[in-house]
Amino acid sequence: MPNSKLRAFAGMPMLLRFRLRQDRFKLLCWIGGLALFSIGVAYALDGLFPSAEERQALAQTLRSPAMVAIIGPSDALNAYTTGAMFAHRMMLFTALAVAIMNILIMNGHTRGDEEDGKVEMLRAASIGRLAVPGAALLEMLLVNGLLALVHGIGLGAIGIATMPFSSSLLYGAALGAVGLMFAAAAALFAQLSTSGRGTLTLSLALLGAYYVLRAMIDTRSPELSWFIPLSWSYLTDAYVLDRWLPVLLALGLSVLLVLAALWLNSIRDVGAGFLPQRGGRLHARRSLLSPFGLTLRLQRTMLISWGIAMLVIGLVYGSVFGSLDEFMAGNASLERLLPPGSAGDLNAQFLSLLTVVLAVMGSIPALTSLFRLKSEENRGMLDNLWSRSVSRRHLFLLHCGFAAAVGVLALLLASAGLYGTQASSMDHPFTVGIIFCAVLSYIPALLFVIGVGALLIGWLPHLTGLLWLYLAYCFITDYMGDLLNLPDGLKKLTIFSHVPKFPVDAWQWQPLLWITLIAVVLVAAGYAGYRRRDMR
Amino acid sequence: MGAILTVRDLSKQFGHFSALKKVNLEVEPGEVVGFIGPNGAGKSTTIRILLGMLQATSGDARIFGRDVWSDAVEIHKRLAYVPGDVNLWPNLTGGEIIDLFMRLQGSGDRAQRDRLIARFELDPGKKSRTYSKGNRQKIALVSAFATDAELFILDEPTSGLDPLMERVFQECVEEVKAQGKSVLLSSHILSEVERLCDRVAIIREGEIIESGTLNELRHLTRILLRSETVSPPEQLETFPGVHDLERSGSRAVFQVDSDQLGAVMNYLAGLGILKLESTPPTLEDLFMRRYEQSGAKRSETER
Repeated sequence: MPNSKLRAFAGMPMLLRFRLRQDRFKLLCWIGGLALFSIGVAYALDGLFPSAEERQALAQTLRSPAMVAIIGPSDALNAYTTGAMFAHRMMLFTALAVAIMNILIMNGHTRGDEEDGKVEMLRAASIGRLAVPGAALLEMLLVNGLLALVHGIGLGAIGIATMPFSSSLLYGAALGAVGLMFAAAAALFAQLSTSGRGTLTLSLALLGAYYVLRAMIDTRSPELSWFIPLSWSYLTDAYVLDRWLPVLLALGLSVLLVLAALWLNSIRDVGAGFLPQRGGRLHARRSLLSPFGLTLRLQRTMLISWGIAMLVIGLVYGSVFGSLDEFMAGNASLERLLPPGSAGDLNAQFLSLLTVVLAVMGSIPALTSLFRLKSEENRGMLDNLWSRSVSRRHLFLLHCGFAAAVGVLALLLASAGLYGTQASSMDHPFTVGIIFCAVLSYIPALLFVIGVGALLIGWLPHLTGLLWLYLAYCFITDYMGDLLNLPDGLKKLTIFSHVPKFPVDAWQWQPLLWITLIAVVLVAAGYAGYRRRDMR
Repeated sequence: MGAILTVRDLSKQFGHFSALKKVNLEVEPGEVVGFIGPNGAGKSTTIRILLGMLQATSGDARIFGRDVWSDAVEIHKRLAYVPGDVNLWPNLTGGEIIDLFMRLQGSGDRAQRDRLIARFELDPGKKSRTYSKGNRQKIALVSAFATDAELFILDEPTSGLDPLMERVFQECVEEVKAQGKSVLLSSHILSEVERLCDRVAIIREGEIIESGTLNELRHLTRILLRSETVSPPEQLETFPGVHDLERSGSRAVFQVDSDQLGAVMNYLAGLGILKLESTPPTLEDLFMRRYEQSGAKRSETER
């Protein structure tokens, strides 16, 4: 009876309007942010590498297996136009971001809402059985369509000769189709798992598995890449071969996944799933039973993610060293990025620039970890600890120490990654000692940032956001201060500029000890405020 | 042995706002004290000062004879707290959280923990993100009653529990009381306070407006009377202290202030009583009455 099938979708248009209203700001941020970023990069790449020789030099650095594994292959490394360069560098990572957006929104509107009991409320109203997943899928169809159009039109409108409208539309369509495919996959997983977290884990695990699989395949037998749906993004080869087939494949697979998800949804109860439910622990392990154990457990996921990220950043930067000399030749803007004094070894200068970047990056997980002390307080979680026999001093120093350990670990992982790929791609690689000393000389600066964070938590907990601005300022100034011709006074404001630039400069203990001492004083001052202020 | 908990002239300012004005409160060993008042009256502020989370602006607050601010950690080893809003880490299971809480408090009995989990019908194997408000409160209650604390500070602990679980909670309070332990129970549910508490303190806009045993407080209030007399009680409305009168013929339902009861009874007796029912005021009546009075006073001063 077609009538009863249609009735299953009753209320879907209304629900769709509601979802779009509910999500409009989030969607604006995602689509606008991604599109602006892509357009900005295309524009910047065109300016940074205006000549064919410069682009070709860059292409050389991207042939190494490490880079193919990370950013994907390109068929145009011998004729590296701006369009080819843009698609090669951006497609896979943007596709990953689009996939994550789709997974997050889809999960929230299906299993997430079901877990919160909202789906039950909707189903109790006169809404069909399939209206909830149906509206979510329609929303994602619109969202991905819009994302494709905005990318296509935006990139085409820059007016770069090798980036025509037709190819830009393909580039956008590839992103949208891959995104839709992951929305459909998340919808399917939402039928299998009984929790929003489970759905999220399954969806992200699929995405991660595709990424790793294609990295292995692309470095060995690229023709098998066609079997990995995530690869359909860059297999379109926008701006080079302009293949539409991968887009059609992605749309076809999406339809199959959607049908499967809707069918499973129609035969199951609200709240039920098809995967067996795992019972949780009835008792805590001994390792959880202390403030330290609890902190470790609560931050575990964040720490693992950042650990992987720092390792990958180290690997990527390390792989750039190989053909740095050829790459640098004649590139005026990149040369200006590096510290002046061209007499010194270019590789050493590049290393000392990278170490600042790694130090700023490493400060992010350290600060995130430290600020948990504040966010847990705001969420009322710390009441659980204060009201038992845990002292303020214990918690405060625990979080400062923990943050320092996180930062040091992040730097160690980045150093290891950096060492690994530069050792395999350079004729005369740096020794382990030089790489680790160069990166780890920023530990005092990292401690200083933690010290300022501790001071804010102790005295001005509502202003901790300022430290992120300071960190962003440090990043821009230290990375691009020379490029922007900033006055020396402004450059001196960043703590990272006070660290001796090893190995370009000689190793010096004195400034490092001073910075460490200041950091310790800051933490102590922060504690003085923390012990006497009211808890929220 | 002196009082377990003493609060003397406790005040707390948040900027220009006075959250507490010279609050006095006492809990003796083996006593259950009810702490009642509407939202925003200062109950939770008082409790957070007692727990050392907020620092008092002036006044003195001691538990076990120690200062609540400087000796917080020592005090907390002998104290159990159940907040009204139980926030739990969503990724941990109920069982894990109970174990953690017992360990951090520093005492606790595993067998008692398992008994309480069974009594409260809690499934400890679920992640706490899936728990309802009532289930989160059960986690906090199990963690508290499984310890051998000497003082229990309970801040609206039953607001999410169903009536059956509320009963289990009341049994738990009676048990710890029987063991000679003390309880400070802040609550909205006046029947619960009436059943459990030896004394009550009523707080309003940061001030304790009434405190004492329930019997003491009842003297200050009205009694509900239903009467049927031979001749209609036509003069009843002229008596001072008679309120909310509903009269139809010879029947009347009304409230009378305790101190005017004698005069009203004499009048009714003169009319020939056929039937007379009296209901002592419930804590709820008492509470509402105190609030209406102070509210009226305030609106007068605001004029």
